[in-house]
This record gives sequence, C-alpha cells and structure tokens, in this order.
Amino acid sequence: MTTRREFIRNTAVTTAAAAAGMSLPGGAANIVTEGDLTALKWDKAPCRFCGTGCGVNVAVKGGRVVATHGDVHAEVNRGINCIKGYFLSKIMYGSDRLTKPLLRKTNGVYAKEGDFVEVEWDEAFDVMAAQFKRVLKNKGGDGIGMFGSGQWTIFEGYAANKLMKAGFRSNHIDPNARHCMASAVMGFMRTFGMDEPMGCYDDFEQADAFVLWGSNMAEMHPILWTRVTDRRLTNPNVKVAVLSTFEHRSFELADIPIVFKPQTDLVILNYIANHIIKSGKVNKDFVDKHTSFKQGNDDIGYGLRPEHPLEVKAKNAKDANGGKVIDFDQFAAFVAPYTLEKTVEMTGVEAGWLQKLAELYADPKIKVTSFWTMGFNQHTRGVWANNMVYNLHLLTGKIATPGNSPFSLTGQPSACGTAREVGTFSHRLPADMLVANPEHRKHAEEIWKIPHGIIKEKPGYHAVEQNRALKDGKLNAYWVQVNNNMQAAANLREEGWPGYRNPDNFIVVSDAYPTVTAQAADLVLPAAMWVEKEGAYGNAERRTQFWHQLVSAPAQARSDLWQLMEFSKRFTTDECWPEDILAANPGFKGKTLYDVLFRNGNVDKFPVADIEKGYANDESHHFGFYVQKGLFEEYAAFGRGHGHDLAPFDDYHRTRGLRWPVVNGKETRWRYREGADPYVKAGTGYQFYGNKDNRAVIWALPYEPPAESPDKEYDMWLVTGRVLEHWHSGSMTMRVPELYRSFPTAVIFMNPDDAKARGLKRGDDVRVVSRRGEMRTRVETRGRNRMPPGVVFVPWFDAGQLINKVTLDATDPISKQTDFKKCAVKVLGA
Amino acid sequence: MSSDTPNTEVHIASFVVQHRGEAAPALAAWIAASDDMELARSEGTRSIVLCECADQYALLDLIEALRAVPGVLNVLLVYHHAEPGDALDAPMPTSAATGVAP
Repeated sequence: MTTRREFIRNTAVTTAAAAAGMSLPGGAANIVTEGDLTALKWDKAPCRFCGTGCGVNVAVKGGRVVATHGDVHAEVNRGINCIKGYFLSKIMYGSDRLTKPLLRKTNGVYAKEGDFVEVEWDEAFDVMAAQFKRVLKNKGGDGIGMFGSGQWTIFEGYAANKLMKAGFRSNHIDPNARHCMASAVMGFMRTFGMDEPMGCYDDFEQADAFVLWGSNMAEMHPILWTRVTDRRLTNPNVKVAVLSTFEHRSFELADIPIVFKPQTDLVILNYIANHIIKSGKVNKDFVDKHTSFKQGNDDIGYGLRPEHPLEVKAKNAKDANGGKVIDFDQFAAFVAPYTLEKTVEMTGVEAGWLQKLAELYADPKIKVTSFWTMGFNQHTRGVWANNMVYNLHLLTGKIATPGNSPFSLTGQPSACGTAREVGTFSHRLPADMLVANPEHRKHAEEIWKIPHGIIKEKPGYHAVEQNRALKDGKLNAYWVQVNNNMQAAANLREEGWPGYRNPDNFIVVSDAYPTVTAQAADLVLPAAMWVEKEGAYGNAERRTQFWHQLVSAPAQARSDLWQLMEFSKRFTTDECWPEDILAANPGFKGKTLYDVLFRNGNVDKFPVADIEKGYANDESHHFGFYVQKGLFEEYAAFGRGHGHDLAPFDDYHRTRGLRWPVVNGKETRWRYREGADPYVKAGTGYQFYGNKDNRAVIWALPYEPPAESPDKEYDMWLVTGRVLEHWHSGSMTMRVPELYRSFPTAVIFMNPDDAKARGLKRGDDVRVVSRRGEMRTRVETRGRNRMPPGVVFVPWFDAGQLINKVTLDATDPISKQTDFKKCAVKVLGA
Repeated sequence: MSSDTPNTEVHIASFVVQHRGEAAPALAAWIAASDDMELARSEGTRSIVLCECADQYALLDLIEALRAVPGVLNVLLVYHHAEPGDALDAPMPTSAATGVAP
C-alpha cells in the first residue's frame, strides 16, 4: 500500500529530477494521479518578476491562484523557478490589497491636503477628468504626464502610449525602464541602429567563457545563472569572469574575480580593446566588411539640472549623442593610452587578472558571452559602456554566432516587450520609431487612423525630468501605473516628494498595494495584477509570451487597460486636439478619445467570441470586443516587414513564447547573421541592417569621472541594488510571508575595517548621509556581499528605509538613465 | 508586514542543488546529519534533496543553510506540498482517479 506521504515524496523527487535533467528514479513514473491535486486547474503564464521570462504553471482552485511551479515545457527555465517565482501564487493576496479607489478629501470633496477616503469609480474618474481638463485648458497636453513601466502588459503599454501621444497630444510618457534599460537601448541604437540583443539564451550552452560586467546574476537572474553554472560545472574548460565594485554571490563561480574601483570599468573596456589590437587578434576580415568607426563626443555632462555647475562647464552637454567618423587606425590610436600599467593604476585590479580577462576576448578560439544589467546601465556613462563592450565583440567578430553573444539582461518582465518594443519612452513610437522623425509620426498616424499632425515632434520629459517638471509646476496632471517611483527614483527628498505634493498638481497612482508612491498621490486606483487579466510580456531574448486571465481581480480592482480605455471616454477630440486639425478633418469632431483611439476599426475588429473557450476576459466583455487581440494586431502592424515581425495573436496562446522576428511562422534565435536571420541577404555573411550601410559602429570613447566621488567629508561610495528575495521596491515580495521573513529589512553592507574605524560593529544602527538627505539602517559586515574598503551597499526594496533619499539624480546624458551605483556618503553612528 | 495563520501542516519539498563535483561528499555528509533532509539522487554536479519539515519558514532556512555549504553554488526549490500530517498517512486510492472530465 502506498500512503499519501510516499506518493508526495516520490512526486517531489521525480519533479526535481525532471527539472534537473536527471534520469527518473524507477517506479516513480507510474504512480497514480491523486484526486485533489488534479482538481486544480493548471495553466501557463510567464513569471511576474524579472526580465528572464520564466514559464510557470499556475494552479487555480475556487477562483484563487493556489500554487505555481516552474513549467517543464518552458525553454527558458525548464521546470525550475527561483525563490520569488516559487511564491508567485501569494503576491496577489497581501492583506492590504487595494480594492476600491481612494481619493483625498476634506469635508466630502477632493482636497490636496485631505485624507484618503474610499470612493466609487464614477466619482474617482469624475474628479480625475475634471483635474485633467483643468490642465488641458490651461496648458494643453504639455501639462499632462504619465509614468508607466516594463511591468505593463504589451496591450496596456500600447494603449497608454496611444492615449498620451495621440489622445492628449503629450509625449510626456515614460516607463520606469528609463531607470533600468535606457542605456542599453541607446547602446544598441548607436552601435546597431536597432534595439535588443542579437543572440538569445541558447548561447549559454555554447559559450566557452562568460563575462559578468557588474551583473550579479546569482541573485538577480538566478535561473539564467543556473544555466551558466551548469555549463561551467560540466565543462572544465569553460571560464567565468565576474567584475564588480564589490564581491557578491556570483563570485563563488568566478575563475577570474575582479573588483574594480567605481567607474573604472570604462578603463578596463578600453584596455581590452587595446590588448586585442596590440596582440594582433583583430578579426580584420569581419571588421573590414561589417563595421565602421566613430569617435563620440566627450565631456558630455551628467544629466543634472541645466544650471548645475557640472552641466554649465560640460563642453558637449547639449550634444551628448554626437560624434564624428574615424577609421581603424584612429580608433587604435585612441585606445592606445589604455595600457595594462595605466589600467592597473586606475582600477586597482591586479595585472594578471586583467590579462586573463583580455585574453578571453582576444583568443579567437574562445566563444565569449558578455552579460550586464544595472552595473553598466545605471552609470553616467552607461551608453558608452554598452558601446564599448560591443567594441570587443565586433573587433573580434565574436557576435551573432552561437556562444558569441554580448547579452544585455533586463530587470523587468516586459522592459523589452512593452517599454522598448511598444515605444512607451518619451521620444519613441512602436518598433524603434521616433517622435522626432516626421516619417515615423506619419506612419504611426496612418496605422492609428488619426489625422496627420496629431503626434507632436518634440520628445517629452523623461523619468527624471518628469519629477523635476512636477516640482517646477510644468507638469500638473500626472498618472502613474504599475510602478513605485517615489521609492525607486533618486533624490526623492529634493525632487520626487516636492513634485507630487506641489499644490498645483493632481497625482493619480494605479496600483495593487498602498506603496510609497500611492501614499504620495491624490487619487489611488486599485489595479488588477498578473493573471487577473489577459496579458503579454516580452523578455530579454526577444521572446513574446502570452497568458490568459485565470482569476478575477478582487472587489473593484480593475486592470490598467480597463482604466486607460474607460477614462478615455470622458474626453472629446475638441478638448484635446487643435481646431485647425479638426476643421480639416471634420469626421473626428465631437468624438471621444475612446472612439478615435479604440473604436477605430482596428482595436475593435475582433469579437469576444474569439476568446478561447473556458477563459474569462473582463475588459473584453466590458467593452464588447476582444480588446487585447485588436490592440496587438494593430501594434504588430508597426513591425511586420521591418525586422520586428510578430506572429499572429492566437499563436502566442499556443506556445511558450516566440522570439521575434517571427517570419513565416519561424522565430529567430540569432539576428544579423546569414542563415539564422531571414532579413540577412545570401552571400553577405552578416548584415547589421539597423544601420543603412549594414555595418555596426565601433565607438571610440574615453574614461570620464563620475558626477560625484568620495571626499574628506562624504568619504564612501554608495552602491544601491537588489537582493535575491525581493524584487525591486518590494511591493509584492514584502507581502509574501516567506520572502519577507527571509530578508525583512534593508541593511548597509560594509567592510568590517570601515565599520571598526567608525566605532561601529555588525548590527549597529547608523545614519547614511549624503549632501541630499539621510536614512537610517543597520550595519552588516558579513553575509552575501563582501565590501572592499570605502564602498557600501544598500538594497532599495525596503519602504521603511528609503535609500533614495540619499542618492544623486545624475544621469547618463545620452540615455537619461540615473546612476544608482555611485554617489558619496558618510556613515555615522545613530 | 504579513500575518500568518497557525500552521499544523507538514511540508514536503524537493531541491535541486548545483555544486562543485568535489563538494558532493561534504554535501552528502551534511544532509545525512540533518533530521529534515535526505539525499534523493546525486549525479556529478547536481543533487536532489528531499525535505520534510514542520513549516515553510524551516524550508527556507534549510535552503539558506544548504546554500552556505562550501562548494554549493545554487539551491533551487522545485516542488513543495503542504497538508495536515495525519492526512499524509492515509492510503492512496488504487484506481487512477483524475480531475479531468472523461
């Protein structure tokens, strides 16, 4: 007789063996399937957290998600989940879930300084529309802004982009991917003329060497790290290099461990380029046929407010993205000063490690995959760092072939799919198109079936500028969805908080939980989450993944898509569009934004009958058509035939995602290479077709110092970041009891000698003080991070310890992405 | 931040452990010394650990403890089931009952 205990133990081992790719223990496979387990309804969905895009199986029972586990059919994670993904089923059920709109009121009416009171949706939208119309009347669309995220579904981001850029005629929409991926985007655009990686996760099983540039994959991308670890452990010749400003868990696998002084990654990158050239390892045939050379403008400033002394004195602050054409010899001369000796001196790294690292790239026999995320991207020279790592792969021709892959990892589930591909940045339109380009605007207006001249030419405020514009009273109506920017953005005490609480401004926050940002708002709208709506995300390897609505959102919580579309019904074109355009296009006069944006014959093209049987779809039943399908098919028209091809909508519900471009039903694993990418012409070998000459650009760029460095008074480097157990601001993971208990509060990781020198020991309360503000935390001198002298690390997930009161809002002047990895602080006993 | 209900359940879970090959004997010895864990399988640089413990927090503590064994590089929770302890001793049905409609 088999007991339930034996059955479950066998199942546990069998499942793990399958996930680990190990042979199944005898006898386990024929075990009977037990009744209450199969009573669960299982479906697939991508994970809600990072940009890896793991597949999970989601179990529903009684209208509630009761379990999740890794999907063995998902190519990305093959049945394995990280600890956050494992507890996904609990993120929707925090005890403080928002279920009704909350409006600040005094004596029964809206008041900026009032207290939050529950209201019905009608009242919430009445007040919100009145406030938006007040701003429209005074300033037009330029007074309205929106801050979204790479956690929007593709449909939501697309609808938001339309509502803002076409409906309200405001380009002041930006995603929090600006804090995360903007430098990667501009790196891709400057080098390849086209966004997103050429390779994919299949590279991991082919590479001979992995180089982590500032990335801590062991904690931040643990499932991808599992694949790297497997490759390393089962192939003794494979090498792993880990570079960072402090030692973290990824160093445990490192064959080449490198801790460098903050900002000097730029020196190392140029040293390696110089080493490749000096040692005669340039792949001349590849370089001659497929690359060109440019020298970028230097002295480009730090993206601070224009009146800041550092901006005033920067020679090229107004033309940070500029450059001039050079040739190979000029490039070689440019990097020649970055000798081994100079690099050792500037970085503090031993010569032997640097040489071993350089040889990984230089040796033509070694297939190299480079990884990076926030270490490069959150950097005042982040775009340069991206360009400079591409330089190494291009000089050696180690690109777009299996295992040779410069791979930009992403931090959010749809930073690629929504923020980048849909073009929710303030300067962008879908499929890499730009608002500043008249042809692109015209094309978008044609697809959207709106009159020419509606989309404005000037790029809108980016994320950091939005907070400044709120403080300065330039933006007065502001809608935040799917993110927690009050906690996430730098310098919140001087910029973020004063902007939200500016009496001229009306701030709306849509969220599932009362985050720091929601608490700073005037109106809070309760949002549906994840599988409470039909969704689509795009991961870091260009994989677009769909899921069905599996449960209902609680009480009055509604999806962001429903909120955007329903709110658009309250505005007419006469209130939002110029008279002359309406006079020339009288058919649009008097229509609601809902009519012209979402009842345009595209978005409302598909009936609700097209929804797969057995699945709910609250938005579609509310609006009377298959909303997600219509939005997706309209959106896909931007990219099809232009290298961004997406498959037909229904295909994605049947697969575990497809990597674009999807041409003739086939996904593309490696772009730009003949035979792998259908866009590359026969006989060319490679075509970097994002650029008109089909060549990738090798950029000559120097080392320049950071915006702020330690001095006598503020004597330590502050680095911020994440921990394995919590995702970003912790608004979901802090509500999962198991994850909360694992890492309940932030700490300051500090070198023991630094602590001792300040009379501090592990566990002591301290103040972390910068020129902008201070926060309190406790000292940690042990554990997962080992800090070098002079550098401290504080994670930012803890709403009770807001490290962004301390950070500096210096940005990369090209990408406008904040550098969260470098500012000067002092640590004092509390 | 989150409240918990009293827990009388037994938690059965499996982990995949990635480790250096030379760490396998030490890992096996460490697991053998634990009341809550058993080494279900081990092949080269991967091992499967079966765990049965009193609550989900103990589960995470065990993951953290395994992670700290020298040579262990990654611990992945793959399967997790919880139910009252007395129900676990009930016999399994002999027929293949399923929740799928015939």
